Amino acid sequence: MINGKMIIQTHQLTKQYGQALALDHVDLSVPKGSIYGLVGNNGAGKTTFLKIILGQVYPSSGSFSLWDAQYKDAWQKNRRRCGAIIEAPGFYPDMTAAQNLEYYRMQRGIPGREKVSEKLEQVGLADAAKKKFRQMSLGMKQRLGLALALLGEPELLLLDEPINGLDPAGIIEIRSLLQKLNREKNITILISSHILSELENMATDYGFLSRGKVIQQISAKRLHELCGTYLEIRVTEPERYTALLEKELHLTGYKVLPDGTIRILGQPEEVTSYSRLAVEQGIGLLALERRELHLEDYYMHLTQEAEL
Amino acid sequence: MTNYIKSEFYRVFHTKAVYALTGACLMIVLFFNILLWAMRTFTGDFPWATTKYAFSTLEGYMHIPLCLSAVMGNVIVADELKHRTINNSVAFGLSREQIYLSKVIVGIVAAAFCLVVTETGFIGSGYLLQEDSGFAYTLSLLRGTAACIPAWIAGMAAIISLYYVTGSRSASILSWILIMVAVPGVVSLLGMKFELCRRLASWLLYSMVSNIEVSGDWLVYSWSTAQGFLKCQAAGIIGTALFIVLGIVAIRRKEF
Repeated sequence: MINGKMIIQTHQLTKQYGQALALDHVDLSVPKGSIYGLVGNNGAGKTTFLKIILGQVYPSSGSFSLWDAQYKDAWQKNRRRCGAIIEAPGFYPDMTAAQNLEYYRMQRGIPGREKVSEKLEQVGLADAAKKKFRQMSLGMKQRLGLALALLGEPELLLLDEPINGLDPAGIIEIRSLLQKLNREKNITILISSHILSELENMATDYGFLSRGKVIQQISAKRLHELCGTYLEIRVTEPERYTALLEKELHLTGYKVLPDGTIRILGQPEEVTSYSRLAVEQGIGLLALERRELHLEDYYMHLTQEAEL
Repeated sequence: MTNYIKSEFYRVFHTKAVYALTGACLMIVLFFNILLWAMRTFTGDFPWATTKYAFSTLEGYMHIPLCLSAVMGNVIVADELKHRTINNSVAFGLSREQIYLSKVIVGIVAAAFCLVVTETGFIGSGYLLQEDSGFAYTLSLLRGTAACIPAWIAGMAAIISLYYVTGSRSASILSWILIMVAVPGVVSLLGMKFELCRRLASWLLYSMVSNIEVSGDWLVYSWSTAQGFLKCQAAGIIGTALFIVLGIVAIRRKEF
């Protein structure tokens, strides 16, 4: 559960391409001031979601609000408060980096020609200002896309896999730039990735998508709580044991895996209280282990469960 | 929309395509005048080195600018679906209709620039290099130009619309040729047999701007009479309106 004022809220948002459901009744909420990591495998619906918010694709059904806007004209007005990179950055190949940004600066009615060089400087492209877009490397194109997204001081950034094509140093640089923007200018950032570790040190909230469905929305704090240590218990009567867990230990934060293994997440109590419970109730204790759950493992479990 | 138009002007006039197209048109018409002048100068007996012949020749090829309007339209569209530049504009909250209409407006201005440069160069070099046959032929050329302008605008609106309908540059060019050139050609041919087709062909833009008949010492074009002039204008305006509607419907439905 994510609390606070929401910049984006979707309600049953659905997008269908022929028979294929790209988004399936998605309810997502992006809090103001957050860095929201939208995580999902390729084809999970991340890009479609962002495209709908930006008006590039029409939803088949459902609704969404962007700030308080809930209809076309108001969405369009509020989109002017956004900056975005969706898929590969789109620029005119025969124009230079500076000319491309100048073109969009004029289009967006942003005063001051110096904004172009400022943004190029900000993303580390000052030396490539006169380079034609077609001659740029993938990483440079990605940086130029980010410069465009930042043009006009947006309040919300929607970034679709923005560190694609960047070298390790570039990834660190862009990540710290985004964190700085979020911290100092309170820019809300919605960033999609299919690699959770890319977002691990940055996101304050997460939304997990799988096959067009939201499988979980969770704050980074709560996710880290869940991802620490956990207990894995195997007993002869899992159903009775879980009922006892709830009744005797008032525990609800557990999961029963398909093979009957019980996984107790969060901050489990002393191990002895779980073994004692089984022994006292005459339930055979087959295994009890304390384990570490990493974010990637958590995500993998989550997607596997969703796909079952 | 004003900002979008400004940015498009910036793009169009900061890239080479419009200058290249204008330069190519100017070179061709200058070459034509120079060729006539050279023939008269070096052969001594060449009766066609006159403004009458030069200007009437250009007036007889008004379907060429119609085809060039498609080239100009392509420059304006700049294959933006492929380059995904339109995505940035839509993501910024510009409406698809604004984008389409701005493209048409910028296209008209860019084409006007090309036309003014080319025709000024042609008329100027004609007066410099050819024997002056009188102002009537200049006036006739200017009148023909004025009559055909709506048709050229329709040609441009058509290529921009067809780009959004087909989603690719090559497909839009092929469909433009089919709609603007091939269909009128076939209808004109059928018009030799069927009266209905003949009447229909007289309203189709390509047939209209390329229709010439000889009457004594003068060439008679579709726009030579007052009624014909108005018909040319009306057909161009109707064509423009139809293609704009097509373009707006196509771009509204487009997902990027």
